[in-house]
Amino acid sequence: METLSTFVITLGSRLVTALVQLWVIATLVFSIMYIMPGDPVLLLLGPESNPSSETVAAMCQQLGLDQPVLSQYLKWLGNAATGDLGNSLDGVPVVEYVTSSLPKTIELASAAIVLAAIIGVPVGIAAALRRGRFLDGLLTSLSTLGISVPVYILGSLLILLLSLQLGWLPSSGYTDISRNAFLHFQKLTLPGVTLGLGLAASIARMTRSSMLEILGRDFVRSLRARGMRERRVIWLHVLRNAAIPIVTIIGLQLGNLMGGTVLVEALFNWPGLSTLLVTAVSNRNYPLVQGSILTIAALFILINLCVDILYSLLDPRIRRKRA
Amino acid sequence: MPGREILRIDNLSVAFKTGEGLRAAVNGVSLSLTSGEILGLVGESGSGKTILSLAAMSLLPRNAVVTSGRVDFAGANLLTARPDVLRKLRGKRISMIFQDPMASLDPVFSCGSQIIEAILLHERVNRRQAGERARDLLARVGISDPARCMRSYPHELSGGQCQRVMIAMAVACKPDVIIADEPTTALDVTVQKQVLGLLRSLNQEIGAAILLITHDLGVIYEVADRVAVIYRGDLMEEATTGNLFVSPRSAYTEALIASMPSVSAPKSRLPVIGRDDRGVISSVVEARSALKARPSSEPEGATLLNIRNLTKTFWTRESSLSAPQAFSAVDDVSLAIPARSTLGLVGESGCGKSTLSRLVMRLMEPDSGSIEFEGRDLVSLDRDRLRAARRDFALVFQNPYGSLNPRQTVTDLIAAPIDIHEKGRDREATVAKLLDAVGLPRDAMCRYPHEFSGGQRQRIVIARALALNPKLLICDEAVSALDVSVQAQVLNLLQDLQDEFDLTYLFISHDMSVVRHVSDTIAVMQKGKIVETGPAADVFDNPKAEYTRTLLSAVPKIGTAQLTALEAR
Repeated sequence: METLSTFVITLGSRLVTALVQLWVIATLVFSIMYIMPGDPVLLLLGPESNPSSETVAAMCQQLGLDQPVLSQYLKWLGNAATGDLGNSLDGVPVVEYVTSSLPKTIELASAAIVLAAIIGVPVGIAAALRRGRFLDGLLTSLSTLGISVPVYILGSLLILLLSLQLGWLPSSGYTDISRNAFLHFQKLTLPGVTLGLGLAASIARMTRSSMLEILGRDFVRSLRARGMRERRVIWLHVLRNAAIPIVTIIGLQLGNLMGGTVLVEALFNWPGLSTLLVTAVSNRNYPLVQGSILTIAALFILINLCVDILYSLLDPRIRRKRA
Repeated sequence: MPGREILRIDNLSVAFKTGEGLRAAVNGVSLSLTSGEILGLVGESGSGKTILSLAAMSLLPRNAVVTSGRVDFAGANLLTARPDVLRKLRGKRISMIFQDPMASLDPVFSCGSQIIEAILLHERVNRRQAGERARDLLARVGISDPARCMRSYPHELSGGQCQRVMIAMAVACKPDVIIADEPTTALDVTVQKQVLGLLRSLNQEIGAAILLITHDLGVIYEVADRVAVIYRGDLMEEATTGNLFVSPRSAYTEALIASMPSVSAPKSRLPVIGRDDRGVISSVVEARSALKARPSSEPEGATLLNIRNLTKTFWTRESSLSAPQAFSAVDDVSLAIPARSTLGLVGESGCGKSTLSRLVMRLMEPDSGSIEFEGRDLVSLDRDRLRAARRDFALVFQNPYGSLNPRQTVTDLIAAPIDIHEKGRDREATVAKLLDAVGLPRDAMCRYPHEFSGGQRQRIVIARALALNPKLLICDEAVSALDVSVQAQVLNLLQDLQDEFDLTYLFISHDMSVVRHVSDTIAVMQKGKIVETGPAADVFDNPKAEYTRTLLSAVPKIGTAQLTALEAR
């Protein structure tokens, strides 16, 4: 009971923090309109258009810029809270764009992170257990390589090999799962692998160092002195203790993937949130920029919240000592 | 019942792989343990006693190699036994208790689940039965609320409770042999007494032989039947406990016993362990290193430091939303230290000793009260004046490994206060003089901390503390991390320095015999309050407070306790 109530309190306070973070970001996003150099209306209408004052006034009214800043701000906050992110410059609600890109980004990011964890964690464990031997050296060098190769190089190489040379996988594009599930996953594979391999490398390094730190602790020796199988010592006790830094890095990576996959999305023509944001920025489509940044930030905060909850499930010291 | 040989270590040699080849850690040691006895294995740090115990469990670290010998237990040589054979013996027939109980429990599993796991590893019972056994065991090792302890995680228990949980696990399968490696070193004296009593009674109850490894001769004296003394990997002698203390056969044992601070002859110079070029060991009383360098500037007996009604409260909260609770770390403490004398402050961990030292150093703001140093109130000083006043007091910390920056040379380390307060004036010359004073060679100046032993490092720390000729030196557990023989050297040094530099000491320690040895007056602290204060002899001989009596009775004393322990059997 005691544990549960502490947990609920912890969760509640984390939720409040998350909401405050979200509000700060919403405020920053709102101020983009004013921070950007130049009159947004003139910028939107284009430098060559030489607009008449009526056109400018109409545009201002359309964007709600003729009202006092405070009421604009409150209106923006209220709308955002109810899920209304305004209309894109082409008149389509921003929410429609976002909801069409969001699942694609989440799908790509999840595929990449799952692959990265499946490869990275066991590789890190294997390297830690063979510390200083050949396998450790090999795996550590490979992970250095994995971290240092830029995604567009790796992506291009994978396209050359798997798609153009061997013809096993389509080189780019996106097919809706309801139209052709097989093709959908085929097209997911290359961008997923490209993103996942680099992430796997840093997960492997973190797993290795975290495992080594725990393996040196006294309690591991006392578990062995109790006659426990090595498998159980490693996979149950050491791994669970080593998990916090690993979970941290996976969480951070997943958060970064929400808006940081521009290169991979461009290379594989994957219509995700990053692509949406880049297109919106280059078209000076400010409502769309605001909407996509807010979405990306909200996802990041949500993921961090999940990681925090996971921490307290993994480590009783965090669960009960949180102040 | 005693007499059957149960564990035999035969001509065991262990070496470590290093960059320069093998470095011997244990040289041809033979020991045997008979059923039902307690064999004490005593030695200083680096003597090879822990390596010997790990070898007996075949748990040697990867960089250790066995160069000769065997460990016979239950009809097998443990050093060459297959992993599955070892696994069935470990925890079931031979179990181990380690030094740091907090670190020896897995922090992310509850204590109950760890004990249950230990039982299920070797016994064919179901989880519920194992749970009942675990609760019984916890009650047996003196845990007052076993059900609560089962649910608790290691960080929620005290060190003594954690060690009880470790002991419960060690005896869960009724082993023939328990190896206890410094089982009470991390614990307070009163808790140590309880844990030793528990080991003794379990030894009688389940008949397990115990190999008790420790650096503390007092602990050996209280509970061991026989003692083996190990020094630099060599077995020096083996004797019954009574004989060892009455008539030690090896020179090392004799020197080791002599170097312990004794309650009967306080303030005397402690003999240290000397080793000449041929490796012959003897007990040496070092000549005084220096004579008084300057005449004392102040009359004897004037109060240097006067602490009045000092209070510091910490506010802690269970979770971020619960109401903060007050914890009085220092509660209305008043103390006075006369110039050129030593005040010994004793108390168990968490009693507020270190908080008090930090308050006196003004590293922490007191809530109320005053700290008068030479009649000037330190609490009311502004930043600049406090900075200037700081040169009159210095702090020597417990851990000589952690309190020296590993990237700085000894000169830079010792000269740091000179650089701060005197812009580095005459730094080289002063450092050379200070090295002489603390008994380190002058060629130490351009070396780095890792090139020195623990005792030498503590000398460097003391030299740094003396750099500005302070009047007050606060020694916070300054000798607690050192071996007995090194501790004797440092205690001698502190006494010489007191005479030479007219120093006043606030000497904080949990070790009653050390405090008795160095102090003129003693203050006993419990839960943030001073419960007793007075001349050292009075406090020791006629303790007034109940807590002082408890503390004193818990100290293992050579010469008396064995008799009572033997009578009890």
